[in-house]
Amino acid sequence: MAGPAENRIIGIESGRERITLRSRLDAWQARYAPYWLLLPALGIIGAVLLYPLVHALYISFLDYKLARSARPFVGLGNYIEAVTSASFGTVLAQNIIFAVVCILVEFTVAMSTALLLNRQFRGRAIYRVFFLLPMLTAPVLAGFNWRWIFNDRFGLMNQIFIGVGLAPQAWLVEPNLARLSIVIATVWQGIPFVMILLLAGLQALPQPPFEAAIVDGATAWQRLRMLTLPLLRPVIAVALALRIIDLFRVFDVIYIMTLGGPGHATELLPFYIYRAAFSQSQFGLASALSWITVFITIVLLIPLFLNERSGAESEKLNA
Amino acid sequence: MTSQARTSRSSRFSGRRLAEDTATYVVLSVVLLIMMTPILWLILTSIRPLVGIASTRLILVPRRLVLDNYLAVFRDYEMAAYLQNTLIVCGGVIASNMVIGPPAAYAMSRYQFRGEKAVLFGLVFMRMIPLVAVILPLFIIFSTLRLLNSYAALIIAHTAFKLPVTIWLLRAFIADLPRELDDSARVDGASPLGVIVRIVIPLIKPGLAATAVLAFLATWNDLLVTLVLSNTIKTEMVALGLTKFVLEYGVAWGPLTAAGVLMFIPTVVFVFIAERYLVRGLTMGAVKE
Repeated sequence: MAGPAENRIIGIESGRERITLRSRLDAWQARYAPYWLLLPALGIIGAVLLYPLVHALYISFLDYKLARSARPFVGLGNYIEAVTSASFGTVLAQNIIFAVVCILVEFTVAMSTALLLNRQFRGRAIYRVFFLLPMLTAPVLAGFNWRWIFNDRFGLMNQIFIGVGLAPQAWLVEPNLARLSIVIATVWQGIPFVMILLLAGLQALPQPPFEAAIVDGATAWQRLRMLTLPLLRPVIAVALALRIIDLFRVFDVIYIMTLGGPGHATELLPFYIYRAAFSQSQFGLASALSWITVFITIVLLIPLFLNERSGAESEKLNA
Repeated sequence: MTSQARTSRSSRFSGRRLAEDTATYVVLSVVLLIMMTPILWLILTSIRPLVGIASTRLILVPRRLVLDNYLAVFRDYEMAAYLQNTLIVCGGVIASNMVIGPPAAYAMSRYQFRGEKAVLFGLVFMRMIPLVAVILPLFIIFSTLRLLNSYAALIIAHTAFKLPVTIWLLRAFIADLPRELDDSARVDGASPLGVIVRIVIPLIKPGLAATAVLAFLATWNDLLVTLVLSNTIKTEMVALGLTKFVLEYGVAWGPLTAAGVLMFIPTVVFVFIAERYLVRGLTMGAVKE
């Protein structure tokens, strides 16, 4: 309280004009502070993310090919072409199956690991640090590692296969094995992510219900099914939403491991869009495909946002 | 009699506890070993002599270690240029994020204003959109501005891509600070920017460090931006270098794995230094520690 009073006294001594200027500046600052503090960030995000997104929407209504200078308006033509083409349906279905398989594997392994890591034992922190490594590895490097492991001549996988008397496999050449390979490379990074989220959720669970359940003689399995999983539901929902969204953004692993091949067996949406844009120079079509993907993302984001909003409100209440 | 029964029960209990602990160690170690296999295999390949790699027999430990592959990466490939470009871009991205991020995060956590929810949702949305959707128009824009193959384009693009996470994470760190600190400074007549520079920033140093590390790793790890926005050795980054090694010199696995190990070093360093803070940022603040 002493501060403004002092300022006012100094202001009076050095002239009335400075008071009004100063106080008007203060009022202006106080009123618009959040906006100008946010301005640089929102400016650059707007210019580099939002504007291109809108620009892509505009391009998606044009017959825009790199080779031609004429770019006639075609309305929903690109969208119709995208949705009705056989390859889009295949790639979309492939991406959905890929996401479902990855999610199932990731959550099964991550939940088991998280439950074990939630126990009190020595060296727990060390396990946790090591589990982080795959998650922070560059996706392109993860793909690179697995490509080397699945190398048909010198790869570790075939060496193990030969070692135990099995026939070596052409991992990245046979369609289903190639699909399996990209799933493995992806879940390798996804498992630690889901595990960390679930572990944090487990550690924040209230203890009394579990103590009561033990007193009542509930088995470990009953406690997991009746208590842990229901109580963990919000965390599971967040992890699920984040992973699904990320599984529709997988690009690097495909690019370095298979380039979508053999044929189109491992082609997922981002790589499909990339090829439409930069191999076939079909900018209009690629933009329409982009917006279809953005739309899918928005739909997938809705549950996450609802969850976050309730979280943000409780955060504000605590503050 | 009673006491005997109790001891036997408690010893049975601790025996069970020991068995459970052992099982936990065994299972976790097996899972961890499987998870570490790609990394170990990468490192092992990179230090094996060339003949060793082309062997179809399972040799887990090389008979003699060689660093030839590491020398070859620099001698025969453009690894030095890739690393230099990547470090320059990463430096620019960290600097811009550290300047632009804190004021925005401060506004998000300390003010209530119209449009706050829209900004909040916008940040999450921008973190979630498939980057491939914006990279094509960005390519068109930067080529019109004649900025393809420039550090400026890469830094600007990466800065915008990392800012949502930076703001989101710093916002959580600032929300943890007691409000009285900056309220009293503001009452004393300090401007918001003054409060941020003199009071908030010194108190959220761990948050800034974690944010910087995440921005660094995300830029270091990125493939798509450099793939689309640069096509000369002047600006190509290490992730793109790695794909080129594979797609263009597909058989030379020795040097390739050495390049992979070099690319992996920052990950290892930062995971061990800043594990706890990284977790919070990677999960968009969903995990608080």
